[in-house]
Amino acid sequence: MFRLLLEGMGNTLLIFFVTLIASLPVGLGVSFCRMSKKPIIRWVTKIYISIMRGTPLMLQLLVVRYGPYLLFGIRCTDAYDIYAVLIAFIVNYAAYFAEIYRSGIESVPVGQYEAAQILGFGKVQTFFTVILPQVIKRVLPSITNETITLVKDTSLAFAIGLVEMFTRAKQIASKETSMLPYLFAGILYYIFNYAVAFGMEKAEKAFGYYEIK
Amino acid sequence: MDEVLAIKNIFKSYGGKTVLNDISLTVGRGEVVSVIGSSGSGKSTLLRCATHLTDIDSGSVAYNGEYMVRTVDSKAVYAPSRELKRICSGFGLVFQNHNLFPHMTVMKNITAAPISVMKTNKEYAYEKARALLKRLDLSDKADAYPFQLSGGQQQRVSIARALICDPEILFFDEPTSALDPELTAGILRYIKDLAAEKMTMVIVTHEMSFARKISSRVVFMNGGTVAAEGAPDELFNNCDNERLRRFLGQFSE
Ligand SMILES: Nc1ncnc2c1ncn2[C@@H]1O[C@H](COP(=O)(O)OP(=O)(O)OP(=O)(O)O)[C@@H](O)[C@H]1O
Ligand SMILES: [Mg+2]
Repeated sequence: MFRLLLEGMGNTLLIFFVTLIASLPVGLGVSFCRMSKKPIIRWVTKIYISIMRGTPLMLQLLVVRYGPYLLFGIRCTDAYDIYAVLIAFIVNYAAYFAEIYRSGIESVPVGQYEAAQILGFGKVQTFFTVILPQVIKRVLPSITNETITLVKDTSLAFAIGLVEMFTRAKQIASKETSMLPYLFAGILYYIFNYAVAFGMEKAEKAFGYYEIK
Repeated sequence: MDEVLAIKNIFKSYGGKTVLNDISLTVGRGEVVSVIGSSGSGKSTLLRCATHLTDIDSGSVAYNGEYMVRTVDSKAVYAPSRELKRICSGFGLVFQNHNLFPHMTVMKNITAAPISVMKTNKEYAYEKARALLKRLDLSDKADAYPFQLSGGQQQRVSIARALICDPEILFFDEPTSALDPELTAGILRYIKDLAAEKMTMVIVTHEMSFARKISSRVVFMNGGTVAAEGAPDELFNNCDNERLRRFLGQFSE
């Protein structure tokens, strides 16, 4: 039983890592669009973010998975399942991360930009050497929260029948009429989250060498 | 006279409110010009316009005879970006609240511009930074972060950060108004040393006795205009300007 659960864990880990690694930089790009000088870009991004935050991730997942067929009659094989999950998750998490970045970027005092400008830094250089390091420090706690939510959200893949740890647990539980698989699955999620929290705490410590007033 | 900075007839308004109203100011090489005036008279705005932190509405600003901005067909036109960058590398600015980068050590704060902007050799930049730190009595703070320093030390670091780029002219916006009197005296001593070395400076300050001692010229601003201007003794003693007298009166108690 444990082996079967761990097999399901493979997909869980895949969803987790790919989503995290892709949506962190994508979210930064989205936050730039959200703060764009062009009203139309700002506006479209704002709507996108508000939809992502205002509707359940499960619904978004179903739309990505079955939308192509229901809307355009394109049949997708089961192999599409995992891609559907990744697309839905990345698009959703990028929106959340974008808002986190935005609040972080906006909280950096304007004096930091001005000091950089006076010293002759260009716009890009200012962002990467002066602003971003401070933003990361400011947003790490919020990123940690989202990351922990992501671990738990991976179980939503269940909704489209993708086999990950939670699906496995349900299958075994109904076959053996036992609570144990759920218990074990819960323990695995907990351990996973514990590891994530531990890693993020280390990251926060790594940025603890200085203080921002 | 060798003019480092020439500001001519600049206007600046915020939302219909005129903050700088036809200001002209020239600064010769080696001159120390103090700018005084009551709060809201436009002193900071003047420095911000001179340093390109704020765009002017009309008028002109030139460094060493090269226009940073001038007015063509009643519109302010800035120099093309490459040229603008070169012109702007000729001045430095020390902020009231220093604006040091909190995530960099003192050494990194000072050497960031020479290394990443001017592409100076690293060792040379460190060498130069160490010399500046020594001068500003900060030798033991090279590896400290800004939050570990006192306000006075932070301000000294920001002076070092401005000096390492060898500016031809240095602007100060109330460099001591965030500090207590003791630390103020410390900072002013370093500025005085710079004046003795013929560093060209424009200093916005509320320290009247300091302005009087070190300036070659004092400019009194009032309501967005230069209301009086002259050598310190002549300005502080026999002034027939009513507003200036009232302004100075606040400090004599
Ligand atoms: N970004 C801005 N937007 C709108 N109004 C501004 C802005 N910056 C300055 N002002 C206005 O311009 C006027 C002059 O401001 P400025 O900061 O230049 O005064 P100051 O002489 O430096 O005063 P202080 O001695 O208090 O520093 C003030 O009335 C201020 O409200
Ligand atoms: Mg001011």
